[in-house]
Amino acid sequence: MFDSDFGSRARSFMVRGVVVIALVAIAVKLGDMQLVNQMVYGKQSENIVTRMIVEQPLRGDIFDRYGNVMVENDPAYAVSVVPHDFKSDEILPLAELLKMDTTEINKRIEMGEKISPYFPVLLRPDISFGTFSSIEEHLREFSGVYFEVEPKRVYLAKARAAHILGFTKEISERQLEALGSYYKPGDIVGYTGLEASYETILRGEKGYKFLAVNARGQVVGRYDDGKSDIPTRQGSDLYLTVDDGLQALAESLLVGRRGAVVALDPNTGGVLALASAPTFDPSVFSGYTSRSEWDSLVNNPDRPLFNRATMAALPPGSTFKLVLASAALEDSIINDNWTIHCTGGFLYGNRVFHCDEPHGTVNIIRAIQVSCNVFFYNLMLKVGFRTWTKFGRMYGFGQKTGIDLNNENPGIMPSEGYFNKIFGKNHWTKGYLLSLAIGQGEVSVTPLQLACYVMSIANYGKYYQPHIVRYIKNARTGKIYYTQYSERTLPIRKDVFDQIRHAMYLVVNGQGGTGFTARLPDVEVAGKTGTAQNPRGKNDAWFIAFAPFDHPKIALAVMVENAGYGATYAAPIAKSLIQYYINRTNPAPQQAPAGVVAEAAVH
Amino acid sequence: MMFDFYKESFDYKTFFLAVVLGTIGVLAVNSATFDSGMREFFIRDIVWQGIGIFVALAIMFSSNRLLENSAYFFYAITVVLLLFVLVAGKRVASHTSWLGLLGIGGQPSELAKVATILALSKFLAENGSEHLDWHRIGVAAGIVGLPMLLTLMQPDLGTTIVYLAIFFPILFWAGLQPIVIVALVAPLVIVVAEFTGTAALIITVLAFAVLFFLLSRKKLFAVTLSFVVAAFGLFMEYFYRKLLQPHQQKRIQIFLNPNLDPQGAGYNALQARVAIGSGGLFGKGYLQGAQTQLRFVPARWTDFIFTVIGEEFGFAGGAITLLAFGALFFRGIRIAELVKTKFASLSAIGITSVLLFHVFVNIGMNINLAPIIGIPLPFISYGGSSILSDWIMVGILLNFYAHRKEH
Repeated sequence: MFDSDFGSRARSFMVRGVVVIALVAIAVKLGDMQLVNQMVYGKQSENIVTRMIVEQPLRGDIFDRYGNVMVENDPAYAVSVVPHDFKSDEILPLAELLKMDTTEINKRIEMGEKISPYFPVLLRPDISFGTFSSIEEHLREFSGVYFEVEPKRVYLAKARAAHILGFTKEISERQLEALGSYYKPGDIVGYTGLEASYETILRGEKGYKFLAVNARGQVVGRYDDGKSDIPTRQGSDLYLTVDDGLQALAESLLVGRRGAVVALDPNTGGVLALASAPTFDPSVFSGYTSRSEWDSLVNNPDRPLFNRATMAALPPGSTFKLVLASAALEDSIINDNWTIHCTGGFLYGNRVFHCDEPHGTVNIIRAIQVSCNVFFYNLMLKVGFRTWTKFGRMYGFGQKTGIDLNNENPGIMPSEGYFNKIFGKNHWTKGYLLSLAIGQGEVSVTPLQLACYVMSIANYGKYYQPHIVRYIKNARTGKIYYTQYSERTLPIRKDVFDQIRHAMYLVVNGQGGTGFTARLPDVEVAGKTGTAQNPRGKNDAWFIAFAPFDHPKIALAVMVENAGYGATYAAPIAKSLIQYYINRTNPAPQQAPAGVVAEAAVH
Repeated sequence: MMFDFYKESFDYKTFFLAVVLGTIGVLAVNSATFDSGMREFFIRDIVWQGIGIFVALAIMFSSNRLLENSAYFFYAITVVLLLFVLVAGKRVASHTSWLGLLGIGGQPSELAKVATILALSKFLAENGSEHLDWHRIGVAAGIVGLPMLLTLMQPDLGTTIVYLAIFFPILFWAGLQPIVIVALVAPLVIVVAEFTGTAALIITVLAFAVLFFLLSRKKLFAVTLSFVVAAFGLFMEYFYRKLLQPHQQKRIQIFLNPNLDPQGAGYNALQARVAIGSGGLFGKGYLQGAQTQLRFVPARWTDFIFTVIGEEFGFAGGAITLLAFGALFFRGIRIAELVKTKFASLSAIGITSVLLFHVFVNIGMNINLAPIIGIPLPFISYGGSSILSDWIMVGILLNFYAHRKEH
């Protein structure tokens, strides 16, 4: 099937033909470019080159549950420089003009040079229009210096909502390496909050503009009449479940404190308010942030950047007794006929565990109502470690809630295995359990977890994944994308919840209830106080609540660090928030527009 | 004596053409790195050209049978080196000392091309023509496929594709029927056609069917081949449209047409085109190229070195370069006809086609005629390993010429 045609004359001819065709093809194309179209390319090169200008997309806006704008963009002017075209002797006068450090200018130029000496690198973002117009004239005298309009975040909400929204800031060198090739030095990127967790959705896509630029760095026109340009794509808008007014009130109630408030809509798991104190002004970061402003926030001992609502894991005190109560009632270990006589103390081993006062003979309802520790010490020994741990996990403790914010603390829900690991096997006694029964010791929870816990009690066991974003709106097409959140039902009987809810009602409204400070004349509030020992000072005050009792519209957790009694310091805050939210006359929440379910969870 | 050698055995034409191309290379690298703190490249380029000439002459003076006898040995060594690069290169990515030992990472794969040409030629010379059946074609494919696979795993797609320019031309020269060559080439063309578009795919499949009927005496054979090719086309259509993710499709599109990615590959391609196009008939003068001197063209001393020639010497400079290459290729073909051994003849064709492929693709990617796969322009692009292997190939041609009358 093969010719013995090796090296034949015909094949010689064909091989030479291929050589000629290949080289002629190149020559023809070269001739077309260099002779026929030389003018076209020549004009591009004449004076001289194309330069790629990156156009930043407009970042998406953020709205609250009533459609009020919380964050949008304002124009600000930015100065950038092309390292190759910039003369080093210009640094000093430029630094003076921009009121910047020469070392900072040098550092930025060096950083940009690594990417390419021909791409502009951002020197100074966020120059106000006033400053800009006064220096614009002088800026033109520098070669390789450009200025462009760059959008800047502005915060229009009544609340700061700093820990929800987070802030945007110029990308750091570390993030540049971590986030991949889309980002370039000088880009604005979400650092914390929703700005970070929804970064890829909010940011949009950059555009590219090609300019013809001459040797002195002056723009002489568009390349290819702009036909090669790629337009920017605007970022999508976020519509939140947050109630701006409630959020603002929560923040004002926490002023001067270290603490947190998380309020949820118990029917959806949507976050109505999520406040952490002390807070900060996110607008400090939009545009140009000076080193000292940044340092003062980072080095503040009260850590204003730290989101206590989702990241502070602390012992929850007596609010945690409902875990043990759920376990005992669900597993029918006791019923409400089982009583304990409280004399104000409980001797276990050779140690006395205290109660605030002698409560006399109490059953489980009364024990919750008056927050009797002795009852729960006894109950813990009856229920046992394993069952208690199982119910704690069921309520979501020791795990991240999956809220759409980064850096959530899972807290600690101790188990026998955990104790064996940290204390060593046989190096801990049942006495350790007694502290756990009343939410002290090794157990730690975040305010968000506690809010989810009270939400699922209010709901008869429906546990919704807490979330802040209700839907995403594509700014160009107007298309709505609903983000999908999980929900589950706790395997606990209705009559158990009936008893616990009843006890919580009595905590606020009953005779001798510890949460009377949250009582409202026109709304039936149910709650539970907590006062947790804090080794670094006064007790932490906790309060969890939901209202109205029959058809809950709000479930919340309040925590005030080193304040004192939960009833004194946390419950009044909850009361004010419930009063505001239940009686608010503002427009009803924005009707949910028709949309599709987003394909994937975002963060 | 020396004069006789010069007259009888020294192919001064080939040598002269290679020296001309090497000189163009030195000038271009000088311009590309002029005044940019990369002067060491220029010095090193001269050193490598010198080493190359020395090695070429050494090969020329070596004995008649040395190349043929050591072809498999040479091949085995380069395969081991390729394996070594793969294993050691992965394990000690940051460990540069042994890489320094080998020069550059690419060195074994550059030498492996030459070794593969010699090994394939030796195999076909011994099992050639009338003995050439499907089984032997399989072995031949294996000889080329092994270093090709190892190169692909580096991964170096550009150099991998170069092996195709070894395999097909040598088989063709060995006497393989045109229809078999066409049938072997068909899948590759189908793949490229599919990435270009469905219309191009259909036209390509039809064109192959016509070719099969023209080239085959047995109509049934032609029909069968046409069906196989059409089936492969259908599979590719399914694979590309259904199995590949949109972002994978986009990556292939950008590979074939860099203009779709103005931020990345397209930016390089655009700058290269502007540089060359603005050169005009006689160019802007040596060291006067604005685009290249202002360092707008990336990798302008390696993959995009032709922009320097195009911008500074214009169409005239480009044409002279092309003529020098063309004359060198014709010498290669002429030597393939002159030599008495089949091994030498097949090797000469292999060398010629590999050089031609490099020239076509490298200049092609500078002028938007070929995808940007990053293979060097022979003798001209800076790169020690590539310059050395170019001169080794010249040395082999010179050796063949010197011994052309011997069996």
